[in-house]
Amino acid sequence: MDKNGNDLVPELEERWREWSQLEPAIGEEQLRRNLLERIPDRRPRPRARLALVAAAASLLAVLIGVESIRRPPSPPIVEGPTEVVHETGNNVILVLREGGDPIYLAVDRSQGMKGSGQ
Amino acid sequence: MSVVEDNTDLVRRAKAGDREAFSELAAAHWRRLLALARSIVTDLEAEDVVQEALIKAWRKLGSLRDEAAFGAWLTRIVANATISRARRRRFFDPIDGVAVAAAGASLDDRIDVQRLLVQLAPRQRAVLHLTIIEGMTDHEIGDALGISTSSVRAHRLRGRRRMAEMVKGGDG
Repeated sequence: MDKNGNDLVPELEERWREWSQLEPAIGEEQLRRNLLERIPDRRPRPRARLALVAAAASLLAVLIGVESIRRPPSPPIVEGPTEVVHETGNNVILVLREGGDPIYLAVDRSQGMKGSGQ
Repeated sequence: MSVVEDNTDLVRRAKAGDREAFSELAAAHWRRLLALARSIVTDLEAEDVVQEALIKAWRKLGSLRDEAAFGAWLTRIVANATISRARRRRFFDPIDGVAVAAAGASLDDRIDVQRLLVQLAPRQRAVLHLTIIEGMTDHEIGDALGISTSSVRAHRLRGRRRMAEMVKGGDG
């Protein structure tokens, strides 16, 4: 062996290579099956995502409804030929449209109108 | 570095949560990783440790930035897991009279790799394995084990000296 220890006995290296290639007890196919059984699904499920969106929408609708009940519609703030607009809360206005369903609009006071709900 | 060439598409699919793609990648690396683990822990434990490491890799897959480096990344996880297991449980308990066999026997008969490895520190086993079996450079080994290249050289030197002494002297 040289002083750097770089010439490991060749027979040892050869034996080591052979030993490292021993047939495993668990083959590739078995490994795949084991992993599929054991690794958790990380993919977000579309149904779960839809349920989340639906829950958020329902919550928003309830909040708007509660707010409008807590604060009954004010006298109209805008009145036009086809619609009447009421302020029903700090961030909600009610628009009554001729020939259409009434709609509630959520308003961001700092940025103007942002979304709507019914 | 003789890591299996990775199908980056498979890696991308695995990162997106495709379990089939991940298990296919794991199967492609299985024997290589198992050989590494065998050099660090016992044969019996190696398969268990590698499977646990693969499950850990699946959980951490989101942190892999370079899909082309999947093989090296996996090697790092398995190497760290096996070294840690070897240190924690002292799998390689020294065996009395370790040697390799009687000094009079032929060199080939005196070489029992697993018995020789008993005498090395887990990190020395890992460095020697990655050098001899995988043909990695010092830089790649350093990356895989999270140590500097000078530490890689030092571990290899000490490990090789120890093994060569045992083989040539036939003592434990």
